[in-house]
Amino acid sequence: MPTLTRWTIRAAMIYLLVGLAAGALYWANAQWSLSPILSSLNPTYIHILVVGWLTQLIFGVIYWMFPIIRKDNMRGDPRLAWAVFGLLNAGLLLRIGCEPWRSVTPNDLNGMGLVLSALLQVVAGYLLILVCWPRVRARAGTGGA
Amino acid sequence: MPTLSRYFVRSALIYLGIGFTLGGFILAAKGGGADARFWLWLPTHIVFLLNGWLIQLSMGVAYWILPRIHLSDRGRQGWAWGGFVAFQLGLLLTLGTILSLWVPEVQSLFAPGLLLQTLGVFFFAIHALPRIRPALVRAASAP
Ligand code: HEM
Repeated sequence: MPTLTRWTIRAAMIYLLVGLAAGALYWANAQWSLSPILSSLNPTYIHILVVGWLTQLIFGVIYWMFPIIRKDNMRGDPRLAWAVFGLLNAGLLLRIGCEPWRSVTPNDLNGMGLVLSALLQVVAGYLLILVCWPRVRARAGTGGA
Repeated sequence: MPTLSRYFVRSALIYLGIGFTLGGFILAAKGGGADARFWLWLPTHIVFLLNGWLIQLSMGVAYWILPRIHLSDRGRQGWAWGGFVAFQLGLLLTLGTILSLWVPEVQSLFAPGLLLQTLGVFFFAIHALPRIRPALVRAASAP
């Protein structure tokens, strides 16, 4: 399993735990009115799960298991794949910080944080496509260039 | 990876790109950095990422790796292709709803789009059902 896949799967597992906990807190609060601050966890918890867990896990597994490009260039430029990992997580973490904060106290800082988070995640999405596209192929490429 | 899986997965990647883009505009609007009218794209964002990305990817990979009926035979392939076509048509209708920012009437494409996507999954399920079974491993010496 490539190093990048190990990191994406580890990160995805952490997001799964955090997302489930945040969702449970959100819905527990909806039922028992524990603390008004917990109502700010939606829809952040949904994106922790669908972006941080599902999409990231899928990316890591595609990178690992889809047919390779060529024997001497199995998965394309690894720097691109690491950029996806870095940008997606930076963007998502920024959202996790700013979105609930903004729903409690809207200000310029958390507003700018959300705009930056959007940009980082969208660029990560485009790079993800770039990394995965050549791996969608009939069979593993053989030989050199 | 068979042709149909490649089509499904490529389409899934394209809708991931569009879905993330729409989400990015909405998130920027939420942060006060973009026009609030981008919120109109929220339902399209959700459909592109849940259906266009996650469900399509699942169908593409399922078509590829589920146990085959016999050797290279994947069974009711016509249903799988029918599912792909219906799903694509449904997604195209959803794609049209992006224009609702300028032409509000196109929002009426939303429900028919979802119905076609549901039909696509239904057709695909008819294909996949017989393949959900233990893989038959044949010994090299078997007749
Ligand atoms: C696989 C990926 C994704 C899926 C399945 C997904 C799904 C959803 C769903 C179901 C909602 C509705 C939540 C609710 O109303 O409670 C939503 C809302 C939203 N999504 Fe996503 N999303 C994904 C990725 C993204 C990304 C990458 C961005 C930004 C770059 C984004 C931005 C938003 C925004 C701004 C909202 C509205 C938030 C609000 O209601 O305050 N999403 N998404």
